[in-house]
Amino acid sequence: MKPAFLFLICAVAYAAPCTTAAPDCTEWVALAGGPSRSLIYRTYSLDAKNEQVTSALIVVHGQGRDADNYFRTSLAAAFLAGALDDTVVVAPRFASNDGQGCRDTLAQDEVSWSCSGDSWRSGGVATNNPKLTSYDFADAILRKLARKEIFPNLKVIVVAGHSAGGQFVTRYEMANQVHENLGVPVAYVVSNPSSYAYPDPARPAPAGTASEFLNFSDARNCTTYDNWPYGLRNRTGYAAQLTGDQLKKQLAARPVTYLLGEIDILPLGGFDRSCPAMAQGFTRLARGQAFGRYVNQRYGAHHHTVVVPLCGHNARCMFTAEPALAILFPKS
Amino acid sequence: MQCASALRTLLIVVPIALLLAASPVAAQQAYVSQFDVFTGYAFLDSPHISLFENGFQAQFGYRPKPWYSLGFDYSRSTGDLVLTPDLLPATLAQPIQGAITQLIAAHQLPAGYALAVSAHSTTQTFAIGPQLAYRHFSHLTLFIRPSLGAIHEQAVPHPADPFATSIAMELAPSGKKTDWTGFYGFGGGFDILFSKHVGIRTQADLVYDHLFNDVLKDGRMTVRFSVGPCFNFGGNIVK
Repeated sequence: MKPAFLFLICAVAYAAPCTTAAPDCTEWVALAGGPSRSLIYRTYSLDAKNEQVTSALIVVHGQGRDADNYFRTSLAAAFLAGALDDTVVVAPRFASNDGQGCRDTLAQDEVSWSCSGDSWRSGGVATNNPKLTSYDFADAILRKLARKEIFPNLKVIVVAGHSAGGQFVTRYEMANQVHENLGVPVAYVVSNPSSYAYPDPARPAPAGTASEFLNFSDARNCTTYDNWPYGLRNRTGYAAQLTGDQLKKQLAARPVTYLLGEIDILPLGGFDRSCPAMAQGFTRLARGQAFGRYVNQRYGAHHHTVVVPLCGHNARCMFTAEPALAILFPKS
Repeated sequence: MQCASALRTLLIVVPIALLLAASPVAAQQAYVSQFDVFTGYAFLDSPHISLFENGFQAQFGYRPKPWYSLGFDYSRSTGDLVLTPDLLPATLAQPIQGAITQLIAAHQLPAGYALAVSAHSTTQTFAIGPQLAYRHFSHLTLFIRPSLGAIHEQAVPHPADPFATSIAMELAPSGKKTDWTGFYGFGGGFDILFSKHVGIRTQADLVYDHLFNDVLKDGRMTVRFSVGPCFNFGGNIVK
């Protein structure tokens, strides 16, 4: 009788992580009080008390919106880091069906996030609910994770994204309004985005120029180079709720790691060749290195840049690489 | 250079046909069937990318008249090639060469490193169109045709070192790369007829296509060559 009782106690205390990219490992997050909702993959329920979880990793997918695939990649990384038991891994799905380039099948009341212009990558407004932006979805996930009654031992939340997800994270880092209010430290991992939101008109100077950064010299021909989401002008959606000064202050103050692939040098895989993006550098690697240096030099930020050897534009290579594990799964 | 190599095959096929045409069995064919089928060994030779593929080809033809027919043909062949930076467009080749230079300087690649990614290729061709025949000889039919169709290729890279693996993952993130495109060219060949219904066909086409135009800077000339038995059946259409 006694061993059976002890087994029961242990079974209740230890919740096994959900580790398949299948409906069993998903749940809906209600937005704006419902019924609007979006889907997440997660290793543990965000609504059941869990004392063993000490950290959280949110991983935002790329332009393919393949949250299931990113969930698998994150699970592999968590396994390699030995963090599956004490980390809740969350992979949100920014589903989109704008009838043009993005044609995801949507469930009832599922939000359709904008796929172009000020899109889900940059806090754009949903196409089927003008009151919601994609950053509201991230806010909702962070708020759920930060509830002490659910995750009483949570010490840190890491928000990471690769490619288009990296774009999402770099702009969310500077724009979100929940960072200081959660009661749990949040760190951001920006991996291989095609573009960044520069806080002012300076851009990397051409090679051979004395200064590393100069006001963009081709502004006459590339008139949108400083518009949101490439700069802070003409912001819409979530980012329009703050002033430029607030965005710059938040950009510099919050902890960011730019996780860049050493071989992410080819204009493939959705590489942004528009003139506002090309103004930031000719490769994703160059763009990331330049942006990291710029915010540290000009705004006194303490952002870190980590180049992952022999990885290109590949989330699985990036997030499962040894240098990435300690960043994605920090030991509190 | 690729044209010269590609034409070599045609230069073999055409003289043989002419030689046979000069044979003494010169008498107009009195029996021409309505349909024909062919299947046999085939190769595709694309010298510009050093790709030689072995496989098979199959054809079906319908003859409204003795001097022309309409047909469809299909071929499938496989082979290996080596992808080197000189085959890539400058937008890809330059950053790769820049990265190699930096990695050599950082001693992460050996001095003199040259990128080469081997790949296994599977190619299918689908062609349809008319064919003109010359039936002056009782046991030999000569034919020519335009070559118009579609080509599908799947290439699976097999990189041999970590840097090549990284580049291959960039060029083919899913582990393979597939493409469809059109091709055009011309071709011809001859049938040696053993009987009214059975012969042996030898044929070749010289075609142009630009497969994988996102990662290969040039199009390619390809020789499609095939040889094998052909079978004629259906009613006699010679009036």
